[in-house]
Amino acid sequence: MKKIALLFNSPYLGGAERSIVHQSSLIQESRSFTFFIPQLEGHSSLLLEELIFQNFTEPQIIRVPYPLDLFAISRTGGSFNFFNTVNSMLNILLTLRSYNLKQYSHLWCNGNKIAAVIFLWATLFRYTGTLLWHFRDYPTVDSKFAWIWSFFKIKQSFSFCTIANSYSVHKRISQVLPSSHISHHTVYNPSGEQLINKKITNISTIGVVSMLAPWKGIHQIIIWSSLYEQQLIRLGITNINIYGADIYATNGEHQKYANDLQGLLKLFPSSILNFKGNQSPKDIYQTIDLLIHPVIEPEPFGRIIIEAFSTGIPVVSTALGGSSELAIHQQTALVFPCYDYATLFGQIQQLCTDSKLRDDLTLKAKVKAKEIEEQVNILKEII
Amino acid sequence: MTKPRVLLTTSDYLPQLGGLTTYTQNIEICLNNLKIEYDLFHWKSISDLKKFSTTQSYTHLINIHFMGGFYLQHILPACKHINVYHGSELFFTSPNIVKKIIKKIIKSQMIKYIAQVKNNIFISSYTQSIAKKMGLHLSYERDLIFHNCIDVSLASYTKQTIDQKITFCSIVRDTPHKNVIGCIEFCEHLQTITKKKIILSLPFKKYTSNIVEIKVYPQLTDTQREELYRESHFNLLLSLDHSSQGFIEGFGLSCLEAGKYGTPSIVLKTGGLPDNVHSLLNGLVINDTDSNQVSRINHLLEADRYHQLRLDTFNHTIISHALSRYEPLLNRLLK
Repeated sequence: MKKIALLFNSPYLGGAERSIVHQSSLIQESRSFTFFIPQLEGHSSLLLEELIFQNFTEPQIIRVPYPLDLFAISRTGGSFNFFNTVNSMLNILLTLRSYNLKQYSHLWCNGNKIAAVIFLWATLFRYTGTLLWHFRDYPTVDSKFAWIWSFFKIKQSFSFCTIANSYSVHKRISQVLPSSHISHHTVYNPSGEQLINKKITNISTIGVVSMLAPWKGIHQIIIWSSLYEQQLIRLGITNINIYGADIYATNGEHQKYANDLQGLLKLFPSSILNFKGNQSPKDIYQTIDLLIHPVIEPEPFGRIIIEAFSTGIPVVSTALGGSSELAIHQQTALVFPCYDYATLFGQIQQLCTDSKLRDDLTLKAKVKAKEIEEQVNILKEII
Repeated sequence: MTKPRVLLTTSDYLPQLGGLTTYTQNIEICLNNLKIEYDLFHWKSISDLKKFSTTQSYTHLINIHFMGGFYLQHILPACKHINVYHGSELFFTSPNIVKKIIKKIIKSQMIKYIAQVKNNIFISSYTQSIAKKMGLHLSYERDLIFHNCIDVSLASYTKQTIDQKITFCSIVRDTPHKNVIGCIEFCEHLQTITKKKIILSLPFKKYTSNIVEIKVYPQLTDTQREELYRESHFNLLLSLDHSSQGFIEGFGLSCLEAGKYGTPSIVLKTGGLPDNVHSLLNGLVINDTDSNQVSRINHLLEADRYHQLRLDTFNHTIISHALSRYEPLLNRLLK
């Protein structure tokens, strides 16, 4: 029985957490998992723990006290205090020491924040197992942290393996970590549990499901739903629901985005646009008939697309970065260029009026989702 | 609710041609269509702005070049400012050393002004990114991205097929960042790859090639220009990033001018060009003019593929970039 420590990046239940819980549950046979969840003051990990309990019998969960200031350092901006950061880093390394991580054959890190810390711990304490760095985002190459990659290229006492969640992310990892002793893999995020199975016959509710952050492009949807409000109503669209909230506890330009969106809505009012806050994926997919995925920057993967694919909901996406590997124009989805409001409307119109196109896309999208689900075999080989 | 009354300011206007003139004329058409009263103030120098006085009471100031608003903010303090940003003006630089120094000195005041206005319209996400780089803290309520539009009333789809020759046009000024040499290099590589006859139409006589036929139109009339856009297989806009000198393509209006006949554009991945040209929809975005990148055009030359590309280019241009797109935007911003 292989003993695996699965180390979470954050205490929240986001897409990355859903993915790794699902992926680990699919390979739990002959593997024993211990889940390490960072504990941040004032932030609950209850939803994440509940998901683990749903997927594992009597799981071992360890809550690791994690310094909030270290967690709050974001790749997207915000200043940080160097001495506080070093102090916090020393604290977390000492904390980790008490968990006897050397007993695990694999340290599976779900994201960059935790992986960097574990890498440092494994280097300092001469860990000899395998460190799996599961990238759920692009490695940063143009920020104040870019220099850090040269450290991870140094050969260590442990085996070092990276897992990308798309070929787009894989390409970037290979650029920043080109060393021959590091093995690189790509495993798409699965959609997770079968949420619902839908056959869309009429489109009246459009959904945008995303954290409230500028790069998710929700501001585009507010402007669009105002500029095209009358045409959308004539098409039979009664609701455009924005699901999600600002779940980051990090610093950066996303901090005031939710407020900006409210201001933008005053300038670009729309009677059909509603902010719905956080809701369960099941409730969301039961309500919506079409998903818009309007990101304005390359998305490492686009888990929401795969969820919509597997439930049979048609997708319209900007398909940037890893999400372009999923949302393929006129095959699995329709694709529109960023800020091209007219094309976005045209595609919604097509999907509302052309049932054959809608059925073709959703059928092919389901096949794609199934293919991705089967990628768990790659994980079995890695671990 | 007060009826809006607009003062439209611009640094460029007829008879001077160019991107800002076209933008101003387009906004005028929309304001007329919306029946919004406006006056046009064409300023040619900073002293024109400083001397400006009026007895009119304006609700809004639309500044096609933001400097108009910067200098009029104290003269018309009650006006709500809507500024348009095209790219180069945000680098706060100039080939003229005196102007360059002045711009650097007042840069922080200008950024402060840009942060205070009602709305900023950036013609591409690239243009917005320059403002961010220059120190503007973005507000998604204030800072909007709205792509350029053109008059498509005379747009007409023109069917073209590719046989033994491929025709390109590059209707640009002869400045280094417009990269005419790159256009010739592109065509020469393409000739080597396809073995077809390549014809490149340019508006000036200066460049030659032993491989490519260069047709020159030194006194290009409006009719000839439209004819070139219509009859060419591709429009070439391979502008370089000379942002350190303040020269960059903010959006690339000529791609829309060609697109209104269905002529796709081939552009370099610089400035706002990737905001405008979407690979395989209305053209191709390439990283360089080397033979490897040029060979990417090969699969677009096949008859059916090329026909579809022309159709898609035409539809994209007249649907997404028609002048009428500005009207609902202005309607909301001027409320």
